Amino acid sequence: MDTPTDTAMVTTLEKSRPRSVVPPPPDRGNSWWGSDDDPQSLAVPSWQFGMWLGLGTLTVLFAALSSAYIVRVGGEPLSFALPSTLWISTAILVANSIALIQARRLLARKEQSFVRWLAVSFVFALGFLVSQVITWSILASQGVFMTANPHSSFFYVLTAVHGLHVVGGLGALLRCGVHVRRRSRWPQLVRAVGMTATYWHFVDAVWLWIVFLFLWTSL
Amino acid sequence: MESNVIANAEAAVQTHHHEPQSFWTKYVFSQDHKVIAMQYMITALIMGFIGMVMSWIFRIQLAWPDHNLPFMRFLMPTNMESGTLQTPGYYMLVTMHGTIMVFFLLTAILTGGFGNFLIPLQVGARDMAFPFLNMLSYWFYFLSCVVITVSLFVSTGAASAGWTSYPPLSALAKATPGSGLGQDLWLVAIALFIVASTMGSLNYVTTALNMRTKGMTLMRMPLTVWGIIVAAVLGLFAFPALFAGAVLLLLDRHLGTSFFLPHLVLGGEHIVRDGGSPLLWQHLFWFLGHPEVYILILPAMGITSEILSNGARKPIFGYKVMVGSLVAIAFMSFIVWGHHMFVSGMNPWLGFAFVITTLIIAVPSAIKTFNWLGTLWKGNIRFTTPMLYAIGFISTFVTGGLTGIFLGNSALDIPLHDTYFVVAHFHVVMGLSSVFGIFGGIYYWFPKMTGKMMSERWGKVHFWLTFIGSYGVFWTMHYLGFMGMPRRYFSYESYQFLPPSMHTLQIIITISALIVGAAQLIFVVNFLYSWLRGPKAPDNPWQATSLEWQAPTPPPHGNWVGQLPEVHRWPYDYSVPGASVDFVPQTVPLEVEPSGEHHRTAVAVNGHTNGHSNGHHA
Repeated sequence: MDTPTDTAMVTTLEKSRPRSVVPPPPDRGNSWWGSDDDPQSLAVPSWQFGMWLGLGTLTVLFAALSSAYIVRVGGEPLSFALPSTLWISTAILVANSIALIQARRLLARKEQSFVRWLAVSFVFALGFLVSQVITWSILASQGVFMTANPHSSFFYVLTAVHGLHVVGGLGALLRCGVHVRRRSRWPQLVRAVGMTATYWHFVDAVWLWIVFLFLWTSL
Repeated sequence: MESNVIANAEAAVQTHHHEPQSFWTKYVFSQDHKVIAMQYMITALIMGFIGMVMSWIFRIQLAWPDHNLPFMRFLMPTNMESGTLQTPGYYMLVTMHGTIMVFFLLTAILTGGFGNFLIPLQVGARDMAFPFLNMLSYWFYFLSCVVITVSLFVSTGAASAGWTSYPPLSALAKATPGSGLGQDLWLVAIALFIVASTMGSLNYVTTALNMRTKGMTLMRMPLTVWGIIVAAVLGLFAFPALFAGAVLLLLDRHLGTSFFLPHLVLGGEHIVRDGGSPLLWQHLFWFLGHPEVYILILPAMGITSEILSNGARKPIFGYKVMVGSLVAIAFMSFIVWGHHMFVSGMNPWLGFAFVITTLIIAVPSAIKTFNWLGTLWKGNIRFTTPMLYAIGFISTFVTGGLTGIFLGNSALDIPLHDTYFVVAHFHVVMGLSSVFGIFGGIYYWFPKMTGKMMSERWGKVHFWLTFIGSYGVFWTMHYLGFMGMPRRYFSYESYQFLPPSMHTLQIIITISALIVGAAQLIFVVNFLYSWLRGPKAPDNPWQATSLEWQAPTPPPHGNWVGQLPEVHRWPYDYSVPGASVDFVPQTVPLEVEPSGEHHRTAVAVNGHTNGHSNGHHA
């Protein structure tokens, strides 16, 4: 904190910064590089802020693809029936987000059982990929291929780009697993699981958006 | 006492632990922001040199069409076998010149080079927030440079559909020779570049917002940091649109989709595609493309503000308004992309909306210009090389900005769009201005980066040749544009509507361009010679106030020895009335020297602006 002489200067020259009521985060990264008691930083740790910015970038990616879709089909109704496996995929991803919320909550309470929920999330993610492959094969069996029409082109592109992000999420879960195995310190675990959960919530939200987009255009 | 010794020993051990030891981790796969900055800077300068040589070759073709230059065969083995440039080679060169200059030189050096070097040093951090990501950013950039360079040597030639790569030209391998493998490599290189830029930008923004040292409030950050992080935010939210476009274009090229391809007949052959829209690509491209030009100009504006204030020995005029107008320009840049598409047959009402948003950008831009002039007004100007470049920046930005107001009007843009007028406009406002910012920045921070001084004399020769030569190129080009000289023509002798005097002007442009090119060789020699043999630089050669000048030269790993510096004032305390010297570093406490930070209004009203009161009040 400020030294006594500094405090005097600060009160006369600077408006006091409104401080967040949230207690300081447990970890700002490596203490040598970071600045733990630094009044000039955000109320969130760098990794969380960086993750939000990165998700902002991915949002623009999906927004660009979605608006390209809307412009390209120009109000024509969806030309194929959405396979019902899509609903299974949706349920799996919603459940996945809940599992990660649970994992994060348990970790915050320092309960070891958070590992179990990470494993559940990993299984859900794999299950989602399987159900996606089934969805694609159902469409393919109906003759709805990538080049069939603009709807199917965008359906494959959007779900494939999303699928790649799911694979990325699997990587993030594996990284959490490595931390658990190496018995990393608690702040590192909070950081790894926190980043993974935030990322997965985004991936799940994007999925809901994609489903909404295709339901909307099927009307 | 004893505990102090232990603490020091621990700190030493920690520093020792963090300092990379081997050659590979220290200079190649380094996570130190200063090393990554130099890697970015040197790679970008090499790419820029390649882009410049390309412009020489096509400029020679334009001045002396079909002239045979046998030695050119060595530079371009394909498309120039006999020493005469062939048509596909011309389009390839123009495309690659634009691509390399915009992405691989300007974007890379301004954010990757200056951003990496300046942000941690100017906000008082030991390094970036994510050093590993920072290293990955450089190596993805390096990979993208390799891919784009390799594309020059494939048998069908590099991409040649223009730096904007409009389909259908870029979507069908048979459309042009360059639309073969070259175009694929172009798309891959751009995608890699976007990944690199995103990883870098995440770092720049997070570091500046979350890693500031004690006392470094947002409104005490130097304008360079502001310019770079606003540009980084633009990159984060604009580049993904081009990434999406690149993915869709690759699918159109290889998997038979029809995102951008309508039904076409190419060489008597029906293309089995249906309903795709080439305009969709233009929207995706320009949603990036317009913010992209601000990604280039905003950091250059920041650098210029920094150098002007230092060179004029005056506080920057209207600091908060400068920050506000940076942010305003950034915001506006997302809603003007349609002005690149006035000739695409868009609804005139939509065009009108884009005219309005485009012209509004002139307001924050003009505010910045007047503030720079206000900073110079009655200053004790030191005409150093960086200062000359900063003043040169104002000149080119105003010149190019004025023609921008012409072109922002759709009624004027439509007749001028496909002429040299547009080429001249964007080169001056976006290319030259950024380049002047970059050169100013290099001359200014070279002592801190390398620990050596560059030659001022040769720097000034470099400046005047570049400045006059560039106007020789682009002023002339504006005239040609008004006369109706069309863009993108490889050869123009057989067209009746072009008077012979145009040939003379083309020759003047090419000679000016070659002079500017020769001037860059002076820069290269000055840069390399100074780095190897230049006189040793003091810690603060320009008597500047910001934090980086208070660090050792060159800064060690971790930037500051011992504790991080503490900031007590804004970065523009030049010629503060009552101060003992005409610059007060940010680290000097307010008890020691007064600050102008909160008194600018009073001083301006009383007329006691700087200059006359320097250093006589102690």
